[in-house]
Amino acid sequence: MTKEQYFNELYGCLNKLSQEEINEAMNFYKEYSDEAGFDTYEEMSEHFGTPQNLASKIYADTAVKIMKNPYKKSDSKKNSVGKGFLIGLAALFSLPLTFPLAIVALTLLFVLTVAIISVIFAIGFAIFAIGAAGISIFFLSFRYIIPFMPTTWLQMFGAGLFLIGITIGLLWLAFLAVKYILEFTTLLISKIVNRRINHE
Amino acid sequence: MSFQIGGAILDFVVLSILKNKDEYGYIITQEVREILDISETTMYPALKRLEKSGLLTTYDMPYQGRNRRYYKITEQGTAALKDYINEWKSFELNINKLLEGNNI
Repeated sequence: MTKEQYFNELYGCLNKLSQEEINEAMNFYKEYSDEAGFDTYEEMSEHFGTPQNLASKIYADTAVKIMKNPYKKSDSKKNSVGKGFLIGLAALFSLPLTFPLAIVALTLLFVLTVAIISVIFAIGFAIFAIGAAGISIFFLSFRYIIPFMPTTWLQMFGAGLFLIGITIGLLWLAFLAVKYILEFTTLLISKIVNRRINHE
Repeated sequence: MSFQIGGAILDFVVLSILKNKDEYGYIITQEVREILDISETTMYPALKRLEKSGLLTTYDMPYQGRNRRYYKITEQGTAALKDYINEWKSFELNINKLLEGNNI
């Protein structure tokens, strides 16, 4: 099989990346193989692994790169964790799925889903309960202005605000927890993919 | 059994290689492989990461009908390299102290 076939297969595997990322990767390896004088599919595979493996590696590194940039502190990370995680998933599932790896992948996804659902339920419930209490007390407090019972009003108003504040804090905590879980899982996937490729 | 080749050491080596000259991917890979035991597919993500972080820039130069993409260190890259060198020197000092202290 020829060198061109190798690159055609590689191109086919990289379809989940942006066109720019695909072109960059393809150009790098085309240039490298020209310089090194690789002529055949076999030679390419010897040095780079199969097109599927190479694609997985490119996905995995793209995922981590999107999430973590050790040289810039002020990166806009708003959507990056989600995107990094999705590309990480693409990496995991683009590997030739042997049985043991499939088990690992499914277990990982299952644990991840359970973790996220638990977080959402635990904090979500607390948020709902406290939030509802906070808001109702806050509004109830105004009943006490008309009959002019300022002390009572003040107490309830304050209590309501306090509970609403806690709710906001918990929402922020939930957001951080989910973000951390996704980051951690993406890094784990990246390690699995890299270890798997380096053992072939 | 060998030392863990983390991303930082790889970045350090790449920046050092490009300190005084620009090079293209194939040459950089060969030179790094003389120092570190890495696979031929490790360089691409490292170079991309350094470029996206602003430590390297790239330019193309045609050669015999094909294209070579050269990597060049930036001011920011030179500053990062200085930091790495300092870190390395103090690391080296501490390891040597440890070995001498234990009379190895």
